[in-house]
Amino acid sequence: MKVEKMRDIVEIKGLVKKFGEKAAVDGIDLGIRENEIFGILGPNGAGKTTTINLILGILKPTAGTIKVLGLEVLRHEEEIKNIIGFMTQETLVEGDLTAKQNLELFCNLYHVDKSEIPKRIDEALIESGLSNVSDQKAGSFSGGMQRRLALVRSMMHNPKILILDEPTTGLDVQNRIEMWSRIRKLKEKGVTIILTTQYLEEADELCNRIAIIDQGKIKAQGTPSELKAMIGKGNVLEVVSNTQDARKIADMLESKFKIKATVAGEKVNAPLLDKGVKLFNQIVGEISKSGYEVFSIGMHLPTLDDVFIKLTGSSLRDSIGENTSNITRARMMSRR
Amino acid sequence: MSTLEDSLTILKRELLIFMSNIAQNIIRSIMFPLLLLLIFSGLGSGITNVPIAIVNYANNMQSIQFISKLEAQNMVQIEAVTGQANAFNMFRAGKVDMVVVILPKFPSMDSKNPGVDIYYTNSQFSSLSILPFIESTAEGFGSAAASLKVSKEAIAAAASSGSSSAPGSIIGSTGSGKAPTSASSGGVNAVPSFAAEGNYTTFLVAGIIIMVAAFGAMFSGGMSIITDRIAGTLKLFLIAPINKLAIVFGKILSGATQVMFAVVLTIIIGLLFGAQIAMGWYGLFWILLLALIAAIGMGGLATALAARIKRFEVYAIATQSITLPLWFVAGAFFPTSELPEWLYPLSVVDPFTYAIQGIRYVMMSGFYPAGAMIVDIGVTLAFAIAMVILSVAMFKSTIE
Repeated sequence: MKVEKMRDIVEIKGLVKKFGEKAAVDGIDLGIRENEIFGILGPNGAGKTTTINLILGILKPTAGTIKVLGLEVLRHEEEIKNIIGFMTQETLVEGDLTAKQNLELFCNLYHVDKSEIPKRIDEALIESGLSNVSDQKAGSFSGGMQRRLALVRSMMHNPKILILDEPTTGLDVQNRIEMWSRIRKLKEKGVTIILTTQYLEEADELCNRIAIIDQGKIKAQGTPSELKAMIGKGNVLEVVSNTQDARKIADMLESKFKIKATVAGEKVNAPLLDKGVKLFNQIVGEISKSGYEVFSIGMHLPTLDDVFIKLTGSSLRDSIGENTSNITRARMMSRR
Repeated sequence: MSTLEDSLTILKRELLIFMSNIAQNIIRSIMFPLLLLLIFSGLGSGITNVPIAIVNYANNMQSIQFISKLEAQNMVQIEAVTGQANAFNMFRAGKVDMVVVILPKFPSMDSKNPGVDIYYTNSQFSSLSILPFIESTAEGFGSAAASLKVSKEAIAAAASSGSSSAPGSIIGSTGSGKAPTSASSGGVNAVPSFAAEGNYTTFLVAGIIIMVAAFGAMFSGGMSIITDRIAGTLKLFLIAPINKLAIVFGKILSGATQVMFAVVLTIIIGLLFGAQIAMGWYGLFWILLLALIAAIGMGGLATALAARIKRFEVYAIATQSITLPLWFVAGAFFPTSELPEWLYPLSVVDPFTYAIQGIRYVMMSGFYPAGAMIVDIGVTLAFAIAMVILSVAMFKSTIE
C-alpha cells in the first residue's frame, strides 16, 4: 500500500545544469517533503553541490524547474531566500570575527528585526554551547565549535528549510554524532532539512529519505530500508581480490551459483538472498579450490554501500579519501 | 530594506575584520610611504631666487600688484623688461629661466585669451618649480595664465625675425617645438612641480598619497572579494536576501574607508618628514576628498577585476600592471612634463594625474585655482563613477 502523499516542500522537475558541454546535473526529479531529513548521497563530483546551488538560486538551471513552497526559485528570489538557511560545505565562519559578531552579521544580512537581535544571539549562543567564548575570534575555535557556530548562524532567521552541504565532513566521530543530534533536534522543531553527504552511515542513521546521485543522475530514492530492500532479503557476499581475479570470481558466481554479482574494482558484491549461510559455505569452498587471490571474504546484511555498488558499479567508500584532502585544502586557503 | 542598509552591513563586516587585525594593518599602511620617503625625500631642495623676466604690456593697477605679489616671495628674482624681444634674448642667453608676459587685457579669465603668457623650457628644472606659483598667483588676481612650453631655438628664431612688437605672437597657435596644450585645457601642462613653498618631500608626498589610495583600494576591497570567494563567504552573501549591489558597494566603501585610514597615516608621516600643506588645515579637506574619490574609482576597478578573476596570483598581476603605469605617468615622482614625449599623452588621460595635481596645488601653492579644481575633481570623479558602474556591470553578470 502506498503512503498517503504528503506535500512536497521542494519540488524539482527535469533539472539540468550544464557547464559547457558537461552536464553536472542531468535531469533530476526530486520531491522533498515537509519536515523530513532528506539526504542527497553521492561521491565527489556527483552533482550534489550543484543541485544545492540550484535550489539556492546561485546557479541558473539549463533546463527544468525548482519550486520551493510552490514558488519558482528564480522568480521569487527574495521570499525563498528568507525561508532557506544554508551551511556551506567549507563550514566557514568568519574567523576574524567573534562568535557574537558572526551571529550579528547574519541577523543583519537576513534583516532580523533590530530589537530581536540580542535575544536571538543569546539563544543561539546557549544552543551552540558557545556562550562562554562569545567574544573570542571564531578562527580560534576548534572544528567542532566552528561547525556548531555555523549551524546556529544558519538558523538565525528561523528558516523553514535548512540546507546543509556535507555538514559532518572533516569532523571526528564524537563531533559527528553530536552534529547528528543537533540536526535531529532541528527536525523536531519543524524544520525541513536537506543535506548532502558522502557518508553512508550518516545517510542511513540520520535521513528519513535518501536520493542516491551519481554523475548528475538520481539512481534511486526512498527510505534507507526501501533502498536496502532493492538488494533483496538476506545477506550480501563480499569478496576482496585483485582486479583481474575479481572479474573471474564474479563470472564464476554467475555460472556456478546463478548469482548476479557486481564488480567494483577489486571488490565483488553479490546478494545471497534467502539462500544465506549454506550457499556461503559452498562459495568459499569453490573459491579456495579455484586458487584465485583472495584478501577477504565475508557476508553481511545489506548496507547502503551495497545499494550504491549495485546502482553505480563503484563503491562510495573508495572515493572518500580523495575528498577529505580537498576539504583540507579549502580550509587552508580560507585562512588568510 | 534598502540597498544602502545592506551595503552598510557588508561595510561593517569588512571593518570588523580590518579592526581585528588593526596592528598588522597599521604596519602595512605605513610601510610603503615610510620606505619611499626614507629613500627619496632627500632629493631636490627648496628653490629660491629663480631669475625671470617680466614684460608688462598691461601696465595697470592689477598688473603692478601682481608683480609686487610675485616679488614678495623670494622664490623669484624679477627683471622688468620693456619689450618681449629683449626678454627672449635674455631667456636665450640663459640670464633668466622664464619669461612672463602680462598682456594688455590683464586680468582676463578667458582661457583662450589669457591675461598672462608664461614661456619656459623643459630643460629648466627651476622654471618647472615656480610655474604653478606664478599661475596660481595670476589666478589670484583673476587672470588665467597660459604656460607655453617652448624650445630655446624657437625663441631665438622668433626674436630674430623681428616680430617682437606684437605681444603674445611669438608662439602663435601653431607654435614650434611643443604645442602649448595648456592654454586651452587649463590643465595638465601646468602640473605643479616641486618646490614652490614646499620642497621635494612635499611634492613626493602628494604622489605617495595617491599611490597609497590606489594600491590600498586594490588590496582591500577587491582582494577581499577573492578571499571571500575562496573561503565560501561570498556564497553566503549571495544567498542572503540582500541586493547584490550592496555587496559591490559595501566592498568599495570598505576599501575607501581603509584607504582613508592609510592616507591619514601617510599625511602624518609626510608631515613628520617635513612636507608642508601650504593651504593649512583647510587643505586637508581637499587632499582627503581627492584621495577618497580616487580610492572609490580604484575600488570600483578592483571590484570589476575581482568579479572575473578567481585567483590571487592573476589578480595581483592584473592590478599591479594597471596601477603601476597609471601611477608612474601621473607624475608622482617628477613632473609629467619630464616624461618622454610618447608617454606624455598617457598622463593627460590618467585620472591620477589630476588627483595628484590637485593635491599639489593644495600642499605646494596653498591656492587651488577654481579652474584647476573643477578639472581635477571633475576628471577624478568621472573616473570613479565610470569604475563603479563598470564594477556593478561585471559583478552582476558574474553571479548569474
